Amino acid sequence: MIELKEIADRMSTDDIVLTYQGKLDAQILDKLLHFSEAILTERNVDKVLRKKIFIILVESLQNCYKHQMVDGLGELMDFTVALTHEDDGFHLVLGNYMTLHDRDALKEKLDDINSLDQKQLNNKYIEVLDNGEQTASGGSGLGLIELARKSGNPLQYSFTNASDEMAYFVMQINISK
Amino acid sequence: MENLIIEASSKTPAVSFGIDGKMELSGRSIPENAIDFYKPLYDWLDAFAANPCSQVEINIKLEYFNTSSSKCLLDVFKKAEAIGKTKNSQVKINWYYEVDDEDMLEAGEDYDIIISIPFKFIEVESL
Repeated sequence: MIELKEIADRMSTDDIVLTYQGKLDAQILDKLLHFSEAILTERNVDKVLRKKIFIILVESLQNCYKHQMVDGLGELMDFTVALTHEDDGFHLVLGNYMTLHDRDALKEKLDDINSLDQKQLNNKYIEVLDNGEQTASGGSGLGLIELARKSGNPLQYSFTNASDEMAYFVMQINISK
Repeated sequence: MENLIIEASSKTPAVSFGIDGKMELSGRSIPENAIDFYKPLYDWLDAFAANPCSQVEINIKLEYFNTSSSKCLLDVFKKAEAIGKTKNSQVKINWYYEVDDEDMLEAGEDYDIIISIPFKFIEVESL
C-alpha cells in the first residue's frame, strides 16, 4: 500500500504549492496555470508577488512546452515541475529532456544571462526586444532573460546525461519575497 | 472601416480600437503564440494609418503579459509611432499599472526607451 501519509507530510513540510510529473500538452499547461493561480490566491499571497510568480510560471511552462522532446514512438516525454513556498520565498523547479546539442547552446545562454547584473539584464532585454527576430511560433528570445530579471536571482541549473543523445535539464528559479 | 472590438479571454486581452482614435488593451496577454492574436490588430492599424484622425490615444491597462506578447506589443507601438511621424497625428500612450507593481511600470519604461512617442505612466489602485 502506498504511504500516502508520508507524501502528505512531505508536501506539508516543504509547503509544496504545485507538483506535476507527466506530459505537458496545451490543456495540462492551462490547468497547471489555473490551479497555481487559484492556490496562490487562496493562500493570500500578496498581489504583486502573486503576479510575479504567475508570470514566471507562464513563461517557464510555455518555454518547456515549446522545447519538449518526443520519444521514439512520437509521444511527448515526461516533464516535471514543483513550486514550493519557503521562508525566503518561492522556488520553481522544472525538469525536461533535451538533445545534447541543445544542451550546449542552452548552457552558453544561461551562463551569459547569469553573468549579468540587474541593470545589464534590463539593457539586454531592451536590446533583444528591439532588435531580435520573432519566430513563427511566437518565440521572442526573451524568455530566459525575463525569468532572470523578474526573479531577481541567477537561474540555477544542472544537466545530467540521460542517454548517448539526451540530457535531463533541471532549472530552479528562486523568487525572493 | 469599423471599430475593432475583441472580448477578453483567460489568455488574451480585451481590445477596443476605435476609428475615433481611442484605443485600449486591457486584461492579460499570455497566449503561447501571441502573433496569432495580434495579427488582426496589426491589420486594423495598417488600415487606420491610411487615414488616421488628428488625435490618437492608446490606453494600455494590462495586468501582465508574456514575452511572446511583449514583441507583439512593441510592433503595435511601432505602428502607432509611424502614424504619428508620417501622418502628423498626435499620438499619446497611457500606460496604466497597479500600485506597487514595479514589474509592470518597468515593462512600460522599456517601451518608452525604444519608442519616440511619450508614454504617460498612470498608477491606479486596481486594473
